[in-house]
Amino acid sequence: MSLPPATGAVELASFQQHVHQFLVQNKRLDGRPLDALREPHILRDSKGGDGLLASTLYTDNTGMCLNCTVSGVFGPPPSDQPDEGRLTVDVAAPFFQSHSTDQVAAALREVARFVRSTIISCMDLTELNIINGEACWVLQVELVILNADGGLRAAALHAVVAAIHNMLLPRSRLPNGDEVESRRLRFHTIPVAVTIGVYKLGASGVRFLMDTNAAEESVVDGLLTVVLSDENGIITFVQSGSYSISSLLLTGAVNEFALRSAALRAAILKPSVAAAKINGSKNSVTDPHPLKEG
Amino acid sequence: MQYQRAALVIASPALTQREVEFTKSAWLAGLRPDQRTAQQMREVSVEFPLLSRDVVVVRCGGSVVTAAIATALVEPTPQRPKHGLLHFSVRRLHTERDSPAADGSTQKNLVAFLERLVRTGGVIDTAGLCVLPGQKVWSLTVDVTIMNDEGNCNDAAVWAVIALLMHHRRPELTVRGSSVIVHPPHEREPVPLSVQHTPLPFTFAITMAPTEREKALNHQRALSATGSSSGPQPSSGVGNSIDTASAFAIDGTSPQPLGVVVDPTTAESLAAASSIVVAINAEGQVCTVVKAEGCSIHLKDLNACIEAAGTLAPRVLDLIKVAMEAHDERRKTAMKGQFAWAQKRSGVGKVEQACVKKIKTET
Repeated sequence: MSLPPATGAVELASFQQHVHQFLVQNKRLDGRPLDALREPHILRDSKGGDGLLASTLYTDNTGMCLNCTVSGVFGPPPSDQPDEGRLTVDVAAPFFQSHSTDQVAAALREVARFVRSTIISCMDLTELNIINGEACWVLQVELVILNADGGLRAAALHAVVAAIHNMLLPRSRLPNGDEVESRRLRFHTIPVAVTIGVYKLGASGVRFLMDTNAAEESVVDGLLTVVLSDENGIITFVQSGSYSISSLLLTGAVNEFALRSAALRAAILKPSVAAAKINGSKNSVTDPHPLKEG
Repeated sequence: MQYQRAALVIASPALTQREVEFTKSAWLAGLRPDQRTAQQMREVSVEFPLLSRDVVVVRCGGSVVTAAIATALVEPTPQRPKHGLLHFSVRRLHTERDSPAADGSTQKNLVAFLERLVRTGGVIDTAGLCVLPGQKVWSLTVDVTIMNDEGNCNDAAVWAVIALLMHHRRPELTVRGSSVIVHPPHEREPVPLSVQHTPLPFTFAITMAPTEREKALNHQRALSATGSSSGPQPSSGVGNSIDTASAFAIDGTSPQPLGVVVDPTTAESLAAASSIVVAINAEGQVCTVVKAEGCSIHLKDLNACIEAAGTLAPRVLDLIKVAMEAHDERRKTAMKGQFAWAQKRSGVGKVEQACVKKIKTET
């Protein structure tokens, strides 16, 4: 599921025809080649206070803007796994038009489920355990989609990974007076995700669009979401759409992304240079135009 | 069919844990707890129990799934006036094994998977369900009930939905201007739905992470090396080279741990490190692949799953088609039996047969 593209005053059908004309000539709206990724820029703020443990702002150069905040509270562990902690993910999109509310809500639920299952696959939840069967950390991840431009699953996952990686659970006190030592969360593997569009080019063949935006997602015939680990193992793989793909094309698409996953992982984990400025002034945390490095 | 007790024993967590441990030990020895091979499915049967074409029962071993479909002429949504409606609902009969705190997350996931496969995947073209744009479209409602869950219920549910969409017939219509005449089945033959392609999903359980599997293989190789060196004939070396690339390899000389198993039972699902769902259509192309939770897998494991599903999909599709033909034969026999009395008597006045389904003529 994808969120509908914001076409402004242009009708959706005309906008799709415009995108079709570009794709037939192997070009894209934003001038990227077919196999190029959009570079993410992630700003971090880890001041804490009021239970807020981490906050990141995810942007890239075509308008995707996501705010991710992680809060930690104490709670009981799940009854079926008493030695694990809990992780909840909520996704909100307050700036979308209301005529497709059910479609937007369904897409947001899918994004939340995707992010939660992928994070659980990459992180050991027993690190959040405090007292076996009685007390654990409950990480509450809240994602606010300020602007969506395709690749929503990948962007949401990157924002959450940047927030949770090396996050410090502070030294705290349980309601019964017990001291809880501080702890630093770690992923045993850092996931990177991409959304690949499958565009059927008449009868001659098929084109793969790496890191689709919203306009391309509304015209492609299939969508892949691939999440790779440090050793390029597949953590999550979701493929859907009306076009049926042979396994050779699937293998080629995954290998093409594996070549670029190291650079993308470095971009996600890069500490932001503007963090010192953000620590000084609180108003610039929600700046939609972040400063570019270099 | 094996004898089933009237009341199932409540499986305690300790028994479940023992089953999980036994399953993992069996996988390390290259076996499965119910003595199936890695690519072997349980006995699958597809049946249309009623004479009408809107109920199907799919059994996969001990898992039983029932699906029913209903069609209705409704007004379309204002946003999409030229598209019909598709609704899926999944229910699960409550058993003593289910905990009271269990939410409906598995049912919601199955409904989302069905929506993604049937609607987004293009099994049913919703534009083909339009009768009058903006006024009347067909609405299909599919109700899936999981009667018994012994693993792999999601696959059986989707097979039931696909079989139902292939076999169901809607009434024929005559459109004159803005008036629609719905013909009952005794006037005109009902019309089948336009099914574009038939994706059939198969669930695979990844027994352990690939790194752990390689450790187990190295351990077994070391054991076989020490065994051969301490044997009475040290000159004859073990010449078997273990092929780690094949996830389904079953060697007779020395058992290797299983990598990927198809059609996991409940215990195997709990013991598995990860699971993959691959939906393959009749042409052997991949319609949907979902690998959500668990450990990371290699790309060759994913390709092995796709190849295995490619060999299993035609068998299940043949089962569905055979069940459809058998049901058509049964319907013909029953229809002939209905009028057998007329051949024995003569001179009886013609009696108007009441239609089983009450379908209104709308003008």
